[in-house]
Amino acid sequence: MKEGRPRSRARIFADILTAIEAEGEAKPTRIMYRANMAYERLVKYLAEMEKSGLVKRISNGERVHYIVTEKGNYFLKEFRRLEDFTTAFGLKL
Amino acid sequence: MFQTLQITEAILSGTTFIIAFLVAYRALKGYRIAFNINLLFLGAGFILLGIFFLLSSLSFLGVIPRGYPYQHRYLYDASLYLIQFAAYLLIMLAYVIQPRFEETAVLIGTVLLSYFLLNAVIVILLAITAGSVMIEYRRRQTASTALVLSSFALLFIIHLLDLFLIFIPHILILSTIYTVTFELLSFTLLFIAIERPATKGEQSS
Repeated sequence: MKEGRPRSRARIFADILTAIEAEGEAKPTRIMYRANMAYERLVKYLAEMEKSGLVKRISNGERVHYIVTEKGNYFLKEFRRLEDFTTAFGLKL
Repeated sequence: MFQTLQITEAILSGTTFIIAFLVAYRALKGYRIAFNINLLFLGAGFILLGIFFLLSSLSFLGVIPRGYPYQHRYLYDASLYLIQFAAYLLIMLAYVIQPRFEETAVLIGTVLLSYFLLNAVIVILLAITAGSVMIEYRRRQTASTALVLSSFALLFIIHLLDLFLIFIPHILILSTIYTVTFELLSFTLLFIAIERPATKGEQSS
């Protein structure tokens, strides 16, 4: 984090979604690096996001990938708009 | 003419009401996404502002009669101000509860303390001093008392100006230079006053 403040849950979701979006189809380790998170935390969040329908888990034998769902894309779009809004007001998200 | 003015005011207030509600909508939607309390306060503040503009617009249109006798009208106006006050209080809270507020508060506190409170005290003290020296100068009419008076008057003016310079940020940096220069000048005047050899008429009685 740039300002030493813990990320909000919504931001963590957005960071994970951005990481997956950048890869198109991402393995947890790739997401971990891109989203700058510990593996255990990431797994916990991914499970939560899968349950909420933001991401979809694709298993191919031992290989696991995640993709962003339509709902996830909508969330990301809304989050970015919100980010612009809060920045304009000088508030932190 | 008066009616046209009223309609124009109603349209302007109505437009502002729509904008305020749009801002509130975005803030509250943001709160729903991020559960950020700042956005909740911001949204609530803008809702109140929206209500204020809506009521203003309706009263300009005559839908809400501002009414007579006068005390009712003032009560209505007072309630509008109260709504505005609550709105700005909520908006301010959105910023206050931010983590960096502590930092901002310290900064504002320091500025207020150094620029206003302490400077105001300094201005009062210098005014008393300069006033006393002026009385002395009027009594004696000597070069030394004139120099001391000039010195204290200069210091008084510097600090008095400092109280207002905070409102002109681009002059603030310059103010340090001019303050130091004029302080030096005033102390030089004091130095001259105490070091210059007193003439016969200036000997203390």
